[in-house]
Amino acid sequence: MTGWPVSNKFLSSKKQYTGIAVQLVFLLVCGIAWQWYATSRNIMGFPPLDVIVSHLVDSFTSPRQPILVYMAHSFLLIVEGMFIGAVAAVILSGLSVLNNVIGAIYKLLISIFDLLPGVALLPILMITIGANDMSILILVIHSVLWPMSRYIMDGFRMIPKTYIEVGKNFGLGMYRMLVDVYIPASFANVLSGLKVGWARAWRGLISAEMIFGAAQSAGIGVYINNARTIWLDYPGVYGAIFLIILVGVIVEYGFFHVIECRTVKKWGMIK
Amino acid sequence: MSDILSIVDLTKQYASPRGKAGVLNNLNLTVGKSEFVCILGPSGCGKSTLLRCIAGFEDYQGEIVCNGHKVKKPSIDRMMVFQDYNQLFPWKTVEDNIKYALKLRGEKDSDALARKVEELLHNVGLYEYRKFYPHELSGGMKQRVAISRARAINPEIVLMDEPFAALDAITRNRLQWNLYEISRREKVTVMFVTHNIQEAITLGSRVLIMNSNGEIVVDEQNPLQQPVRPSTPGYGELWDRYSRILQGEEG
Repeated sequence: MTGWPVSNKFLSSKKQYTGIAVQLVFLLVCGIAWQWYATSRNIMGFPPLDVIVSHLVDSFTSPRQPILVYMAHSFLLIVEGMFIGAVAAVILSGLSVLNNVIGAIYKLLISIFDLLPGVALLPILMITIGANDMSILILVIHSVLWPMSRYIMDGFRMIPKTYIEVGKNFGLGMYRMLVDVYIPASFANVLSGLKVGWARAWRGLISAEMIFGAAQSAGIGVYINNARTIWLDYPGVYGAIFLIILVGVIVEYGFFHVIECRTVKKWGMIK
Repeated sequence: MSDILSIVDLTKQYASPRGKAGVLNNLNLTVGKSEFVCILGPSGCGKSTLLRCIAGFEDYQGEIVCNGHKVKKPSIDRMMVFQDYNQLFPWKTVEDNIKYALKLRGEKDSDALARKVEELLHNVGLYEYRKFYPHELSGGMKQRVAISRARAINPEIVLMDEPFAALDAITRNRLQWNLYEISRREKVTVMFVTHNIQEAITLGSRVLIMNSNGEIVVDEQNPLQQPVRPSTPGYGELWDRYSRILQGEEG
């Protein structure tokens, strides 16, 4: 009995390492192809990797504002927006379970707003609030709140009836039922919602910053826009894009993957 | 023996496309403290529905009184052990599942919690698995933990809905003996639904048989010398009689 989980873990980590090795080889092949194409064609808008990396390294200590300051600005905004959006999603989805009227209204709101791209809200935000960080924060919250709520609500609906009946049998009130049963039982969905929210928020934030251009916001989107239009630094544009991808990968593997491994995977709720 | 459960004129109907269908019809029953009541009956006769009504999961007509209180909703004085293996909370380890139940009962002292968990898990032979998550256990182990969790609450009555139905014969036999020993040693009141005549004869101090109309047609103390084994005198005859009743040959 004790043997199989151990051997399963071994097989699972072997599979995981194979997956990582395949991904690294794929990236290496892509990098070589890129380098070969860029150096052989010498296109201005398509610089070789070594030039991009060199510009990226220089931009860390640039006499104009270093790229990491731009990145930190965007990152702090997105963390703040994600925190508010995620907490709101959990609270509002929870209230929807506790009260049928709130549930019906909230489902309608999700149907309406989840389909609305954040960038589409920008003109309204710019008119009402202005081209500033607050508009971007609202956009990030919008990007996180609705998909995460949809995932959480779907998760609540998929909770096995037995868990709910066990909770009722324990005499749990609605609040304890929510905290002790509904949320942990649908935690895989909460995480999926958070991932989708993160992706949408990141995209929305960069888009908004690029549309704002040299306005009051000073995020990585503004950096890309300035690199293209003011500094004419095309390798800098690519460098910023690589940095965005790098942050995305770090968040995916350093944050979401770790949480997933320490929760739903450990609990056997997902493979 | 004082009564712990009293059921008077229990009727349960389900709405179906063709109107209301009766499952239980004017059922009357009393259960004494420390009794192990096994309920046999054909599929769809209302055995599980009876248990669910007692647990408070179903609306019903009539009256169910447990320890002087009318049953209106689920409560920890009537703990259910489901047939479903996956009734343990998968996000809690074996010991945390049991600790959770103990805390609900009001136990807060960490040393007392640890002692009680140890005792409950030793009783079902799973103490060394206390740090395991439910998905790392076999079906039989999960059911043993579920039984321990139900006992942790120290309910007035434990309701068991075919908890061993999907287990292989060897595991089922082992768990039956395990449950038999615990129930007799600790004088737990149990209502145990099963399809299995051997299980009812082995475990029950009292056996009920229901017919397909949701009526109790047999309600008798188990006449065999306990603990019951297939070699116990009268086992074959009793098994044969219950089998004939279940097949509708005898009422």
